[in-house]
Amino acid sequence: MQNILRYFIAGCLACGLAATPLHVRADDNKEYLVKAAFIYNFVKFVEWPDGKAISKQSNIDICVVGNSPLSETGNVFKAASTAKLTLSLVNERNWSNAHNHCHIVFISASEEDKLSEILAAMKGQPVLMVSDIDNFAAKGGMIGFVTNDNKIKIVINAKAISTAGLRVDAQLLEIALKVIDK
Amino acid sequence: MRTLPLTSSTILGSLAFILTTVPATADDLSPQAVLNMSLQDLTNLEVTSVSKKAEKANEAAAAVFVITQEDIKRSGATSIPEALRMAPGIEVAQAGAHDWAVTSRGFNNQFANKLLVLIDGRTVYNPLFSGTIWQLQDTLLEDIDRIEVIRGPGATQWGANAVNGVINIITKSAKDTQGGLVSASAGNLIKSDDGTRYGIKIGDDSYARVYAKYTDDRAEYNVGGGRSDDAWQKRQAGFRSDSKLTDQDSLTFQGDTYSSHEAEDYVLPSLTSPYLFASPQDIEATGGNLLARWTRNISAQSSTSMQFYLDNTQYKNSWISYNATTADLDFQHTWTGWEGNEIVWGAGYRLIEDHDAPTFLVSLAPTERNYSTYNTFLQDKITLDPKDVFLTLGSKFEHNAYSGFEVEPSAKLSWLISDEQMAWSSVSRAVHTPGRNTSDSQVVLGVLPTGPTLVPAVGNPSLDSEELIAYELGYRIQPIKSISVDIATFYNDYSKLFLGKIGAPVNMGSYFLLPDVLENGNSAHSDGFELSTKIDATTNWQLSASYSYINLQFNAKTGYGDLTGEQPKKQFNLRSTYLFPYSIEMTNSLYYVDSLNTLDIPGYYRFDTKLSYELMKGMEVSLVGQNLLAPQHKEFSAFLYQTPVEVGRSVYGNITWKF
Repeated sequence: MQNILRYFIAGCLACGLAATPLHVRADDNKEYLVKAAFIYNFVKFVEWPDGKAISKQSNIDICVVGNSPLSETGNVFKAASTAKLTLSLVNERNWSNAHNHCHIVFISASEEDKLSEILAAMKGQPVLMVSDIDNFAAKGGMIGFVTNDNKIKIVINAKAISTAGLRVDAQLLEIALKVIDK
Repeated sequence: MRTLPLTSSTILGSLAFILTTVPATADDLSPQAVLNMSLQDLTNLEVTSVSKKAEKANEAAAAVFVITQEDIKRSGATSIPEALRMAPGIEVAQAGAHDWAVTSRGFNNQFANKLLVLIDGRTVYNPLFSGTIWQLQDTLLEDIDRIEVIRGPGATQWGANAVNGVINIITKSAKDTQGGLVSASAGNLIKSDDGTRYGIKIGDDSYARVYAKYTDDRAEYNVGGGRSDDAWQKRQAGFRSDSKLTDQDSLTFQGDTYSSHEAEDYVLPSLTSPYLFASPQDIEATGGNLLARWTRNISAQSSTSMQFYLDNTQYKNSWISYNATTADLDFQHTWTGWEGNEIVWGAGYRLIEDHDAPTFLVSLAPTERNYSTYNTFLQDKITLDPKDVFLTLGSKFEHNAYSGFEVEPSAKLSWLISDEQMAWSSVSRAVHTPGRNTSDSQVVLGVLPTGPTLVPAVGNPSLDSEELIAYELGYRIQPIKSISVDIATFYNDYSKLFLGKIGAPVNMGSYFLLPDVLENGNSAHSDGFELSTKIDATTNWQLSASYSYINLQFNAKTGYGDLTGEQPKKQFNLRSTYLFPYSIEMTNSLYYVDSLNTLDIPGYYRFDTKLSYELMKGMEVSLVGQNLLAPQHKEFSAFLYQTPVEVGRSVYGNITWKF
């Protein structure tokens, strides 16, 4: 018995020595995998103001508020992390805690009835507000996901982004389905 | 724009992908491939849309454990009962190369009669034995989507015999099994275990698959060493089609057919000296089924499902010959149109037609019988104030040919304390109804040399159902995203259990008859708990563990059999899966099963390991070791006329190719 426990433990110790992950767990939910990939791109193409600016050694928290399948994509962000940049998916039950440490806040569709309250509270905060709630960008959010002909597109509210002190790279604006500037 | 540290890296393994054009859909892409796509490509990727609201982890007000396809694959299990070892509180004992005893929360036996097993909605409960003949319940394991294991009664929804638990084996939709698969295994105990499947698109949103498998297992071991004589072979083939007829209507057809050939070393009772004789022989079993299911989403608030199946099972050897055909029709309607209520109701009818060729050892009277069961059920999940507390009330009303009308109500309360915590409790009544074996049968248990005296177990046509009132309490918590913990406790109060009582001897002329008559003899109670946890230690390392405890006591009543001490009081398992680089994966599993005192079976540890390596995309080789701790060990007692068999150490290799 003891030998086996030893083998069991040894097997796991060998696990600890293993190198960087080469594959993440297969995610059944491809829609949210694609949304996660978009969010990963937002990290690349959005510039945060001082205090939240991404340095050569940064931890980026992507916060999911409410109940969304996006919560299950943590491994995707782990896999995208590098030695210099750590991306973490954080599930926040309470949206009011979100702006303290989050670079990006994703508002789940489950929070639709609290949307105006959340947006009002987050107004001007240097946090990129993203959601797949219908007409999110038009309602004052920053980047909204819309599904068009089974393809995921983004709508950007440039005004809301600049008010918060964020800057978006032109490449992101180019691929947007629509840019709202009011 | 400054250069970010991450742009320089993360291009892992998907260069080939980047060089090619964008595929039409995201469904066949790896997460890494999607991550490495350009923004432009992302916006052109097609996805299958899903509900925006995630199903919360597990809100069921019952002790549910789900074994996923990934769990099955990683465990190295080659049969459904082997896979069930992973579920907490389920006792799985292998009694020979092809014999299994599986139960939930006590009362184990080869034909454990308080556990209901369904494959894709079809009951595989055998009408003669009132139990599951596990070796005949199979499908291509790679096509199983998940196995939902429910401990505790499920009678309100599933009806009679869902007393101590329900096992739902759910196969994948044909849409999710497109393309080919070939799998071959061989080892010291597995002579060969081969399977193949091919799935095609047969129309607009219409898919089908066919599969075939062949299992050839070598014999296990006799107590004290030497090979037993219980090798077996089984052939099985089947199909499934899933079609979306309209936006509202879906249709599923499926069917399986099998034939099995099991060697067995019987020692049969006889009225001539020495009153027992060795009879090594083969049992031939065949069967098949056909099922059709039509589901219709009438509106966002209303959906219906109608299902019909036919199932035939037959087996034959020198002392038993039985053939049963079941026809079953079920209708279910879910309606959420009344705010704060989720109403599910349904009705069902089942007709069983069976016949038996009587032998000296086993006979049924009448030898042929047609009997039917009809039922209706109604359940309402009511949202209480505050909105995170739910009360589910419901009952099954069922009529069967043996005990007549049965009511199986339940009340469940669940409280979603937060997104990470939920608590539930329930009170329910379930019954195990009498059947052919308990009411119409005579089975010779043995012959005593004095007289000689024949001792048969004799069925009793006036039996009432066995009853259970179950009280359950459970709690789930996910303290941090990577850890989940599930605790369920129970108190079960059984009454009117079927137990034999020795009657008065009858002089038959050349011998005496000492009948062991089944009666609603005894009552019993059990209490216990099951604890399970899953931990994602790192992205590449997953752990899971479970522990269960049960204390089952029969209330003393003289003259009746007593099953106290036939359950393992404690069981636990610990599993670890590690994903190494270069597509190497290792899973280690350790299982412990406590002693079965009155059956004189010592507790045992079992250690399984699986190492797999993806040779190329779609092709995987693996090496599996099972029962590595001892050359052989005993897990259960012999059934009826069987010779006791111990389970040996098994090592096998597998190659699986998906294309």
